[in-house]
Amino acid sequence: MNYPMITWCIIASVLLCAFIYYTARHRSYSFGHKAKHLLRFGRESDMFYVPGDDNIPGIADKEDESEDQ
Amino acid sequence: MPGDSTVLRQTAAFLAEYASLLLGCGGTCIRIEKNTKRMAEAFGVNLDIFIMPDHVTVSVWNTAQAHAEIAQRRTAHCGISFDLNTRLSQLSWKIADNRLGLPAAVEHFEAIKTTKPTEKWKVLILTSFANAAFCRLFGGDWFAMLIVFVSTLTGYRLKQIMLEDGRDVRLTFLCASFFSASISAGGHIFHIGSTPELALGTSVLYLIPGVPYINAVSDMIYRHYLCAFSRFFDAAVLTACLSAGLCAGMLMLGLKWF
Repeated sequence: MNYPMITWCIIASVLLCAFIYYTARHRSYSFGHKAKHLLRFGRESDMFYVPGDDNIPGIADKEDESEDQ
Repeated sequence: MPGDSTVLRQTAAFLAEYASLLLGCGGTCIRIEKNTKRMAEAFGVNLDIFIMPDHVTVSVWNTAQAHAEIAQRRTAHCGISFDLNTRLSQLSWKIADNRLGLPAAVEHFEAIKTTKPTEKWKVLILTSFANAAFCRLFGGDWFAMLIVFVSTLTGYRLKQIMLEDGRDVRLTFLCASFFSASISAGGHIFHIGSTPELALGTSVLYLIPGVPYINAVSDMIYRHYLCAFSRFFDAAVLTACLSAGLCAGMLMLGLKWF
């Protein structure tokens, strides 16, 4: 096999793996299991906690305890 | 009474909601203007509309011009839908012809808002067939059509998955065009059929944002220049992304046709 054939096979395999991964993740969601992400891209809606912030995102009542120490 | 402040406010809110949904589903500015003015006349009020790419502002006042109400709405991000577009236009005619009151109009509008988009599997299959037919139109043989069908099927499915997952639309276009072009280049690499170059060229045509381009021309003709430029540059950016994906695929596979 020459270079373009190998590259084509790799690209097709990557796409196939992506579809298989998506299908598996989708099924695990539909069966009620939480999917485990090996690799994720962040979204602009993601919140990041910075030490010193009053509230920890996602935990409404919990506050930063490092202030008291 | 049409001149009543509360009624004016409700009318303005309804017309602004209507215009934002029509703009979001792919209506041109002239269609939005005509439809909203038709309904405003039926409601017995005067209307002025200010359409921006991301917002719609509607100003409604009574016939005595003693009182006015303004409503502003953000453009609905519902995706281009000819079905929704048609139903909204039909609603405006229904209101004008049957002289429907505001409560009845709102009721019809709420029903239209629940219109479900076409099933994704149906769209996927039909888009693949349409793109294969494009290949035939340009002179591709049956093998090229089959290659285009498969590459469109995979690329469009990838596009659906990425958009459902909330990925950036430009990244989505780039990835979809890259994989579609790469898959269709298989015809050239494995020597399938007699027109592999047509299969590669037509494999990314399903990604061309045709509706925004046509709407941009329509808006320019009717002197809605801001909307026209906004739509044109949105479409141009997407076209640049799909071109980059196509070129990246060709470069990676070592195809030197230019």
